[in-house]
Amino acid sequence: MKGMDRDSELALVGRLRAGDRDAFDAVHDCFNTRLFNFLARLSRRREVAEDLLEETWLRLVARAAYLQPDTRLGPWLFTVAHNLYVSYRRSRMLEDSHSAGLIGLWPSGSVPPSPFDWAVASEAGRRIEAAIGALPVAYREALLLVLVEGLRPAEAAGVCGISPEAMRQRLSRARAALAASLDVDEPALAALRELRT
Amino acid sequence: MIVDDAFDPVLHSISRLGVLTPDERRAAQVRERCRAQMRRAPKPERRLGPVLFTGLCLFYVLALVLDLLRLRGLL
Repeated sequence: MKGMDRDSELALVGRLRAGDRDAFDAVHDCFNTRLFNFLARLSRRREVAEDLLEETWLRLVARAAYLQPDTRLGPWLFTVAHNLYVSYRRSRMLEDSHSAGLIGLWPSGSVPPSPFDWAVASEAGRRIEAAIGALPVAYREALLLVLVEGLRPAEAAGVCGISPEAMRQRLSRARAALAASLDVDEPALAALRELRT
Repeated sequence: MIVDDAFDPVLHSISRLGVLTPDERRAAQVRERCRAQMRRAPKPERRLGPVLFTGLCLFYVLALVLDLLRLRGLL
């Protein structure tokens, strides 16, 4: 959990289990923006991210009393958010007969106009947003969870419901794809890292 | 993932991502809604099932022991 040690997190979980509303506020303060960033970059639609974010918090409230005492709040919340996004995508795929591009690892092809005009200030920021947005969803979520949100790969694997090895592969491919779209020479970079170890 | 940040342009690029800000008014509404729901939420009921089951098991074992003692003429 970014900015909070494990003891504080455990205490917060205990208070949530007891129905402490101030504990909910503390968790909300800590995670609301992070969850929104994750969902917005995953869905690439602000209104969808806002809806899924609301549902994530309602799920926490509904389950608060039944949390395990040793729950890690970050992975728990990102798992709920991720699962809600997966459900949203499934429902959209059923609605949209032209949704073949959304399936699995297949890149979505033409990326819709970015909704990030409201957030991205710099040219570099726009480039990286566009590059992340063009990644297949499975790679994008791996990258967002580990490199942006700072989850450990094993935790991110739990969030996505895959094995740690599969997560490592996805991360590696996501990094390579991102490096390619940003014109970063990834093989040279890897060779450089090897030289340094 | 072990990556040397100083030599990783991908990480460097990601660190330049802007922070997307959720709608403050909606966030406040959601927070209030959640707080209200927590106020209404019933406390988790104490689970009587495991307690009853353990009690019955103990009673059964005690009855067995008493029968055994009676058969041996110790009671």
